[in-house]
Amino acid sequence: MKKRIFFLGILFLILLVPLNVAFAQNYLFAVPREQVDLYWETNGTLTIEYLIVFQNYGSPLDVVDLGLPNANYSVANITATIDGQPVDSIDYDSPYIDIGPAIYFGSNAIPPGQTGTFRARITNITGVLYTDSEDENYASAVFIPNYFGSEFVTGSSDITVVYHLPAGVQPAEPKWHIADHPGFPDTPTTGSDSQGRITYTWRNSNGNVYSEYLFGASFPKSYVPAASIAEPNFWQRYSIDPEFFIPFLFCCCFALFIVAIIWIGVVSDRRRRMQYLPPKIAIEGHGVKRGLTAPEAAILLEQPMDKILTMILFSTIKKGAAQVAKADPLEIAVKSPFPKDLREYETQFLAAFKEGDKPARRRAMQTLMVDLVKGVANKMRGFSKRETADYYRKISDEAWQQVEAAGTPKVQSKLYEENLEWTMLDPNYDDRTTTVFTGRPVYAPYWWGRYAGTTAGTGRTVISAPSRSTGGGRVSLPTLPGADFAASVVGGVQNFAKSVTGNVADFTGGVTKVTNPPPPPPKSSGRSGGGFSGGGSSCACACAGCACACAGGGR
Amino acid sequence: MRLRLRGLRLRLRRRRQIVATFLERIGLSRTTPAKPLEPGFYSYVAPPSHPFNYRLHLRVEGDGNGLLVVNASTVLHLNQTATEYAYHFVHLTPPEQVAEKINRRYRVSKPRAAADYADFANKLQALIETPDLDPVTYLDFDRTRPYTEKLSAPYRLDCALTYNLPKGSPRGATPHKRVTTELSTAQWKQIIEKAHTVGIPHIVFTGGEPTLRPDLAELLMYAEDFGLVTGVITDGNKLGDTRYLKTLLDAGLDHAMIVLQPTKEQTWDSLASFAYWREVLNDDIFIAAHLTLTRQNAKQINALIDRIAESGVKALSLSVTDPALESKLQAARDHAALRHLPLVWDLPVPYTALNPVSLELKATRKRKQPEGAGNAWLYVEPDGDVLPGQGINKKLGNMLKDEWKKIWK
Repeated sequence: MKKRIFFLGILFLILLVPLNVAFAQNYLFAVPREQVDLYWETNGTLTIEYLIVFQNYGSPLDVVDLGLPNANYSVANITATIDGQPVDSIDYDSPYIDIGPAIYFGSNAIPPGQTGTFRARITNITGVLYTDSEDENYASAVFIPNYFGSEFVTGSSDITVVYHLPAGVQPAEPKWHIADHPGFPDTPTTGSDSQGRITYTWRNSNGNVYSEYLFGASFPKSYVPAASIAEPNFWQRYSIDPEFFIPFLFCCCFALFIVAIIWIGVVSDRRRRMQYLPPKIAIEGHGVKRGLTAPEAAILLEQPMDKILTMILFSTIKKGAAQVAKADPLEIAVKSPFPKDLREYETQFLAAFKEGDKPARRRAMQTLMVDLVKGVANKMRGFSKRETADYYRKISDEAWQQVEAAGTPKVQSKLYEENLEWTMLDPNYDDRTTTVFTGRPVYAPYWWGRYAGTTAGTGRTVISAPSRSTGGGRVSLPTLPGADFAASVVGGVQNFAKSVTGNVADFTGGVTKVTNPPPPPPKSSGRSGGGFSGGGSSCACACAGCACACAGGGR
Repeated sequence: MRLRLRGLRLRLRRRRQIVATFLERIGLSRTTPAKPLEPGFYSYVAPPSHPFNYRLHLRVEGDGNGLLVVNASTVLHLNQTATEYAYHFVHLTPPEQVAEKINRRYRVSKPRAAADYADFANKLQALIETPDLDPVTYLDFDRTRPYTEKLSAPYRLDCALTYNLPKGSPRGATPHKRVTTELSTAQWKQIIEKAHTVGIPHIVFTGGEPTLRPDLAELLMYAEDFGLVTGVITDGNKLGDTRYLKTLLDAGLDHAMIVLQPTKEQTWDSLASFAYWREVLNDDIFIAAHLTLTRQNAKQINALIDRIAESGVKALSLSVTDPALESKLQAARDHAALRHLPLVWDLPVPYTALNPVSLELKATRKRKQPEGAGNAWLYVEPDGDVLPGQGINKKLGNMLKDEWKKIWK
């Protein structure tokens, strides 16, 4: 970066250097009068006569740089005096102006506070005529009188410019060019000189000698040799001042160069760098965790806890380990000893119901749920939670499709009974159950009596429990109205919540505060370069209404 | 015409190179093309004061992609950009410098690089500090099936230091006839160094019975000096001696698996010994237990699992030799889950396809050898011969004598 600033600094210094050149002068003068006589000769040359009166206010005025139209002049053709005394020397090329001689006064320098009259005559300047742009039969003669830097000049000047047209030019033939300069008349005064040559005179008694005044006139080409009329060069043709244009062009090129450098820098830097793709992390892990039971899958799918406990209730009833003794409030009669095929959480569930005290039973249920959540989390280690959840959603959906597609109530009832817990995984299982079974008879499952058999007091249909077939014999299954059946199944969850868990959100909060404790207060991470937030909550899904498993899938 | 154009293009390119070199010299540009990180192996061990005792091992592969192993167990595959971020994470580069460096090497703005790095670091931190978080669901990680990616080296090297067994062990339990020599301490050190050089982050010392080697602690310390994760698989008989166990812990032992012989009290003594030192040293050493379900212990399996859980073991490896006990194995798995014992299944205990995990994975169910053998891990016999895994007698080369390229084709 330092290198870059240094380089750019050098470039700017190079640009600034030429501006310093002209500041060492301390000339100051006035020009009360200036007259220029321009003799456009019949041989196509130009003779210039200058009369300049200087009133000096600064350093001794010892030199005049006289600007000329082009370099086609010779020192031998220049004569000059100061107050009638010949000047000291004449240099062909002034170091301070583009084209023109430097005329040195020598010992006749005008002292400060004094006035001096300068006269100069320059003859035989060639290449001063051009074809008129408006009439190719005319030659155009254009001239700018000498002017000085404004910092050296003070006061106004009486300026007279006299064009002496070639001898022989008739009064009706020549044309003047409009001089659009403040103080000068648009139209010159026409006259004739002592040689009878037509003259155009422009005068401004209140002009200045630091402005560029351009004058011009045209006359028929026939009065001068054709060879003396120059074709306009490139700059003249397009009216471009090379003095301005070339530095301008240089500046443009330089600016372009800088832009190009930056552009190439940017492009090459861009090419040098590699394509950026967002960081991607893939973890090694297995996909679907099979073998979960429906309540375990419900934990994974973050189903409400009262629903999960109802699923366990159904499974214990189906296994013959329990029977609903009282519907409202819910009480169950636990079979003793427990059947052998009970799962741990089913055993815990039955044990919890043995608690006579309602708060104690609620706490036992919460312990059951904590163990269940942690157990699922352990089982899920190394497996993908997302893929496993999708898998069990699909199982639930397929279970419903089978039930809904069943041709007869009997088959439908059988399929529903077999897949009851899986159908309950559907978040809309209550609506779906009501829709499917309302308006048609339902064949009550063999365990229905253990669930709904004692609900006479609640006004429900009383069904005697069928006995399960143990051999190959037929079992006569009772039927009941579908609406009652659906209401009984769906109502089981609400009844469970009302009787056992109480407020589901509070119950769930008691579980999740163990399974997903709030994050500890922030500690220093120990990573000196980091400064990262420490991972946030221990579980992104620690919502109050769901049983969040937070299983470590993928590892 | 085409030739001429090509010539022009070549000339332009050369000119552009000259300009670019000039620009680089004056500091306006850099022309050296950015390249992916050089292949290498880097470690980070969290300081003891850190609330989460963790280790990171980053292996930058030849194509610029990387492998980040967290605590020698969680394997993350990283694309090139993530590898660069992991490199800076492991090297504790200040985040603002990371953005600057990434911006210099990739076509990405500094704010975007800073945001991506912060996101990467937060995810990694969450993964380390919240082991129960599902990274696919909550951290937006992709999942790749284990052992399917092409690797430049395995994740783990199982070193059978000896095939000797304690007195009284059944004859023929180890292949003494096939392997007649044992490497010296210096030779094992060479192997450890070679493992580190090729980017293996994890060494497990096994046997026979590795505690019969008097240099076990010395080898553990040597591996620890390289920042490698170390483990021991043992019958636990010798670990009941708390002083001996202390020497292993002091040498840097990170984890141990006790192959339980439930009828032997020494086995339980070793677990008690670990529990003792864990309490005394406040050490977070990871202990797993391997239990083989047999007809003899099937009835007491839940009680055994309860005892294992109560002894402070953090993970359980289960297997069964008799296919008829498959349902018992599933029940044992469920009981282990209830006791919050996660399952491990890929350590070189006597392998059987009948472990609870492979039983659930259809793809591996019929395999006769673990899926990761020869890929995720290699097995070095006491004489230095390399096998894909324990009990798979297919020699891949010799760790001491052969070039790594020959062993790892």
